[in-house]
Amino acid sequence: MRVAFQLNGKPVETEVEPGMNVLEFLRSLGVFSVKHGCDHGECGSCTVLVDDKPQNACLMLMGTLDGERIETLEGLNARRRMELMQAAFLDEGAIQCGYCTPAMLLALESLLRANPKPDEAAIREVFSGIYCRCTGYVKPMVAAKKVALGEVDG
Amino acid sequence: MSRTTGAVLIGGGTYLAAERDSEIIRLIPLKAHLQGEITLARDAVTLGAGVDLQTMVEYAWPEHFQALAEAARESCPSMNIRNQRTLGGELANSRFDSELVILLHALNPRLSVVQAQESTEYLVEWSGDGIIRDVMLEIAPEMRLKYLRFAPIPSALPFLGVAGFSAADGCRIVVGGNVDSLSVLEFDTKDFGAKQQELVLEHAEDTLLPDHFGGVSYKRKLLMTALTRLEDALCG
Amino acid sequence: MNSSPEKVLERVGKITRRVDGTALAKGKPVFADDIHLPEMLHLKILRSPHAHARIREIRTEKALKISGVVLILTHKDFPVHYFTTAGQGYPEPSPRDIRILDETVRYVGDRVVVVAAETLAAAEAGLAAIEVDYDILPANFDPEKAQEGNPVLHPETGKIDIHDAAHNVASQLEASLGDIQQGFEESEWVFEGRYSTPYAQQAHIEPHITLTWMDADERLVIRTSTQVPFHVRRIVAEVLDYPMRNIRVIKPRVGGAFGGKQEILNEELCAAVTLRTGRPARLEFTRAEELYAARSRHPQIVLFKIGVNADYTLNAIDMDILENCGAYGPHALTVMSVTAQKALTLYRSPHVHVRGQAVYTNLSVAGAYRGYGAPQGFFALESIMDEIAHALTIDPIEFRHKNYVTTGEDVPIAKILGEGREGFPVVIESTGMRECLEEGKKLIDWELLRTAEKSGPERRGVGVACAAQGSGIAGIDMGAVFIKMNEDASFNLLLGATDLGTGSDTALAQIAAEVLEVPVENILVYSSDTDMTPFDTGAYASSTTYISGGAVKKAAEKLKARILEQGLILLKEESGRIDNGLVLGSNGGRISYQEICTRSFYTENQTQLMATASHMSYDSPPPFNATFADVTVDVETGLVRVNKIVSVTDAGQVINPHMAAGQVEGAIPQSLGMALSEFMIFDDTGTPVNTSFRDYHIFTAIDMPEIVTRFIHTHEPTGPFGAKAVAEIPINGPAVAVTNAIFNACGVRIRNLPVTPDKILLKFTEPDL
Repeated sequence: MRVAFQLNGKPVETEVEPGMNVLEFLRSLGVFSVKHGCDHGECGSCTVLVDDKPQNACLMLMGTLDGERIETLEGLNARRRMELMQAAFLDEGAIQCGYCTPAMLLALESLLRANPKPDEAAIREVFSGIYCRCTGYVKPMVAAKKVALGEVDG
Repeated sequence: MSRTTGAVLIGGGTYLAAERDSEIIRLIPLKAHLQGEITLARDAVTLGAGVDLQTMVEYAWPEHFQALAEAARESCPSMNIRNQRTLGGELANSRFDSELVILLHALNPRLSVVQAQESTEYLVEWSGDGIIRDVMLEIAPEMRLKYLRFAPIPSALPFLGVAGFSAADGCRIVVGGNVDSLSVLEFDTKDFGAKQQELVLEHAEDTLLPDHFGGVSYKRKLLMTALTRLEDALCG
Repeated sequence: MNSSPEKVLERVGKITRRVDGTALAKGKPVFADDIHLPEMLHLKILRSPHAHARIREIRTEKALKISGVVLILTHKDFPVHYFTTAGQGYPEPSPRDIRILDETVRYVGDRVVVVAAETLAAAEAGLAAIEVDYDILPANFDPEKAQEGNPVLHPETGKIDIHDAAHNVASQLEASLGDIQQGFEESEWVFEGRYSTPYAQQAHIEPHITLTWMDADERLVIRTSTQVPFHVRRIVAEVLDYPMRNIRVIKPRVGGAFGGKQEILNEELCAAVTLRTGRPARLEFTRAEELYAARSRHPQIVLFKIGVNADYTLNAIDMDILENCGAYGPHALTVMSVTAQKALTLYRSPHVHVRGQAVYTNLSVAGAYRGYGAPQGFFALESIMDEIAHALTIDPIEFRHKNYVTTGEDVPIAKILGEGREGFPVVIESTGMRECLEEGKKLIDWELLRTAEKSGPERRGVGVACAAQGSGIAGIDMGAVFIKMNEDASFNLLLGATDLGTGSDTALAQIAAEVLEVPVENILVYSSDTDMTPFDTGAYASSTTYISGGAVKKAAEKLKARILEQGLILLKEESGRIDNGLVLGSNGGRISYQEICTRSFYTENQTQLMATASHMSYDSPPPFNATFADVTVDVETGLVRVNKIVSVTDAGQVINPHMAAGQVEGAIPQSLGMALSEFMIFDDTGTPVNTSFRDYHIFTAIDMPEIVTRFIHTHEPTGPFGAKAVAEIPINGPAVAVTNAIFNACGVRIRNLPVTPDKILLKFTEPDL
């Protein structure tokens, strides 16, 4: 079937297998920041923003994408706020293997769009869908709080 | 929807996507066709079946319904997935270990169900056929709503979940979790006392399934504790 | 190796951004799967549905007719050759008991067939169309019955180094010090206990993933998420009988490993398909495969018998280990050795005896997993220490103060045990155990929580556990580096060491920068690639900082000496020194690194300034740790909530404070998971039940207790700048600190992990059971 959607600000119109999942599709386009981790949506490594909200690309079928606005880290890397978040993650040692980092950054970006001054509970909640096996979430929480408090030196 | 014959309508597309084993020829995303709003009136709250779980978490519920926000959060501990899963999908899948399903059975809302024609049914009596269009929660006088979950860690599914709804004219208790069916019991008194608890226990104990958290005798003891705590919450 | 302690460290010990961090933060394509290869085949493995069976026939005709299916390989396509999937020292101490594909399957999940197809969907369709006839064989799932030999899992002749195949004993160890019987006779009190730990999974978020292709020179390239690129090269060459010189293994960024990728699990199948078809091939595990068909922690049953003197010192320790390997024996002996060696290093005792047996069962295969046997041993040891302290009514911390080894002591049993073979003398050169305990005691509010009133449905308690680990494998691990200088005073540091997400590339860059007196940004790290970087045994056994770091320090020192020498030649001076990127001649000449290098390339006394070094050690100095848990037990439901974990570690000189703390913070939820929520369950046919993250519950952000991490500064004279290891030690304590805290809270002693609510409720209501 034919779907038209927006990917990182650019219109995409393409013929797709409706049952193909969005994770496979994005990676086939070379959008590699979106990762495969679990096949079932639990791990959140494949997080993308859909109309500003974090969702799991592996749980979205291409046939449902029509009219949606999809964002990945590739489209946000040059944005000022993303650079500040990345700086905070780097400075606070919030990245270990880095496999879940794009997902965490997108989730945090989505939170900040809705709520520029989130509290700790809100940050923990937005990380709830993203598994990390390296950090115990301790330093990502520290980095995110730093961003929320506007304490990042860019 | 999931129990509908044929391959056309399958409830909870988010679940479907995870399966990845069905060859899909044509896909009609219901979410786009379902109303996704929560409307508050004086005596009722109406939720479109397309309301996603995160919207339910964030909604400013009237005090009586506060437990719904928690249940929506707990029935799906990933915010990512809550942004995707809808109320309709959750009810269509009707997992016995979904806190939202358990809690809603205690509330027993009226569903607008679309089949060949539209009808109104109570959730507890719903056959599972048709597509839910919306869910109406009535605000009852003196109502109380409580949910208790038992799981090893917050993000894990509950191996036992109990919900209680009480109002001036009665109460309804639901037992779910790792069970082979939901137990729903109604009483025409709002006092959920020892006698009622005994009846719930009698009804629910055969549904409890053993698992690695404990055998049936443990589950039974736990259920007794849970019902006592439910009494405190509903009647205390 | 001993650095002069008076020198102030400027790069080591400082908070430093990861050298690979920007690429990771920007989501750049740095992981194994982040490339597209033309004409690539996708592989899928058909796995056994039976716990033990002999394959009668495999019918592949239907599958081969499916559009897109290109190649199907079965046991008939490979000669009988036994190897071990363990990527460890060579010759491997693990039994050689596995074939690439076998005609007997020994657990649910064992490999049967591999399908290569144009697409993943075609490969999956191919799998579904393959028909296999099995003759079902009897299966055993109980390690305590394994030695009855019903069934014998590995009767085949030609398997090597199985200790006693007829009784399913993969490996055995026994060691003695003093006279254990005499030791018990002399003791004032003797205590015994039986403890067990379950299967647990690594759950790195990046699954096992390998891509292979033939390069322009017709050499096989293996791009794989591994901890052990050099072992991959050796083992693939061996099992495919393919010249090692024609294999190149590239390790890109690794998305977590924890020991799970110290194993050759998909590289050889991918390589076999590429060699047969000439086409690129890709094999990635599903999460289900990760959870039952990769490698897990060895379940163990550990019996302790401990004799205590009247002054509360230990006089005799008898330890008996029964280790369940599952169907094959990778790491069987060495994990069990580590269980014994690390536990028996911590406390001094004149009389020690240990016996261990690793047995086969028809269950998932265990292997290397962070801690490598030590968490099992410390669960038992620190449980019985807590029980003894309680029985003797002595504070658990005081009891430990009387018994752990201190600086200057030797640990004779550690030498006798070694790891897989007899080891080397162990003398403790540094220990901060006392300070770890005292600092942690304050941070957890020990006195208050321990003695608080325990009543009502919710009871709060506190527990402690001590632990030791090693820093690399003494006499075995070796790391090598190559470092060369560029005109702008940058340095390429080429490492065999394998950063698997720990940040070791950064720590090693800091060590090089410290020696060379340049900013860390001047060190350009490349690791690891078997064509480009020198050998390293790999990232395991907490070896990278200590062993590979030792090599970096040596190479950097050699290069620094060369820079000075060349600088003085260019200055035409006899003597001088290096200061902050300058060579200063005694007669007042000065020349920058940049100028030295540029002139050395182009104009004067031309040479490439470079150095190589390798390092091994006969020492493996133990880091020490004390972990405290604050828990609340609901005695009406049996559920436990962990409120807080305090982990205090002596890792010697910490190289990178954030990354060291990160190791601790990441290890804690893994251990808590093993205690409370991560269950690998098998039904009565040996079929795994929990094969997704929906059922296998690792801790998420909303499950985390408060975590407090501290380091006690010590100086390890044998380590680079005084460093010891940090990667594994923090995983040993949390689980047992929790069970000790549960005991303190409600009097229930959990001796068998996992902690489940039914166990707590049963023991609470019926304590005599």
